[in-house]
Amino acid sequence: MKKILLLLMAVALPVSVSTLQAGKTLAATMDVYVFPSAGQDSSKQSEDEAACYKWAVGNTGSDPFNLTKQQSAEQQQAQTEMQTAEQAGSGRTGGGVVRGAAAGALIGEIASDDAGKGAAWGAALGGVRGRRQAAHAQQEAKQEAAGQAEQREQATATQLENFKKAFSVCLEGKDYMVKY
Amino acid sequence: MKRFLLVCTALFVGSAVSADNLAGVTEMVCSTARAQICFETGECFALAPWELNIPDFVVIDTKKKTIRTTKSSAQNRSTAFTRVEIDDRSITLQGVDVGAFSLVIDVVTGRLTGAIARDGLSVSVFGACTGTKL
Repeated sequence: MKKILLLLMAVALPVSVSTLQAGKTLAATMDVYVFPSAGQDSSKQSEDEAACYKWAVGNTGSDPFNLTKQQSAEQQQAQTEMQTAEQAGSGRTGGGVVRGAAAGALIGEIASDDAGKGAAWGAALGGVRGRRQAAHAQQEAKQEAAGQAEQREQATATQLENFKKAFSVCLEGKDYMVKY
Repeated sequence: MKRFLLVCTALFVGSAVSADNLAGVTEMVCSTARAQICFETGECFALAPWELNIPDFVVIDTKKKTIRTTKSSAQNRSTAFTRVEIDDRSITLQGVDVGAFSLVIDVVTGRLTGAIARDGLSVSVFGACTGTKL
């Protein structure tokens, strides 16, 4: 009967048993260390862990195994975003923008964008400016992508941390000593 | 007669060499004769100075540390330089204005050599200067 119950619990979990690493308890797969203070046997511990897992999912709204999947999806997304950022502005090579010189500057207005308009050297100047702009845009896009990825990672880490807290509280309520 | 000729020659040569001697001069008018702009791509263009918006004449004041356009040009442009070094052979000016610039003026001949460096390009100018007290 106990065995059937355990089996049912495992099936009821949103995680398939196959995802658990062989020989590891449910808690151990999440790097949560559980000691049976009241001398519970391993099957009782597995049963309690499964129940607490379910309880913690219900209370935090997060499922660590889904979070792992989410993490790898986020990593892939971050990679895609970085690639997009690297390509950002790579096609921009022309079209200079007037910049830098204060009105009335003597040296600053020499070879300015305005002075180069319509001239052969103006096109070369536009090319240089365009390449600079593209490089700057690429750098900014990369930084933005990296910042977003970091935020997502942090949010996932917080969710996981909250789940572990809930999972631990539940197990402690069932006479287990828990550390993570 | 021979002595007279020698004295005349010496006077002529002496005056020719010192025509634009700038020793002790603190304010001078300079004009650019040649200009060249080069880009990081290796492209260079030899141009008339005005094609690069270089004024026909500028007044350099080593006391006030300014380079400005002449009043008659009505352009009203000026740039301050931060460093000036004067010795027997040359006047050297350096400053920052959308990049860095350096000008070297030969005290004996009045010849001007200048360079402007900016991100991805450089402008070289060659000209001559003479004191404003003509």
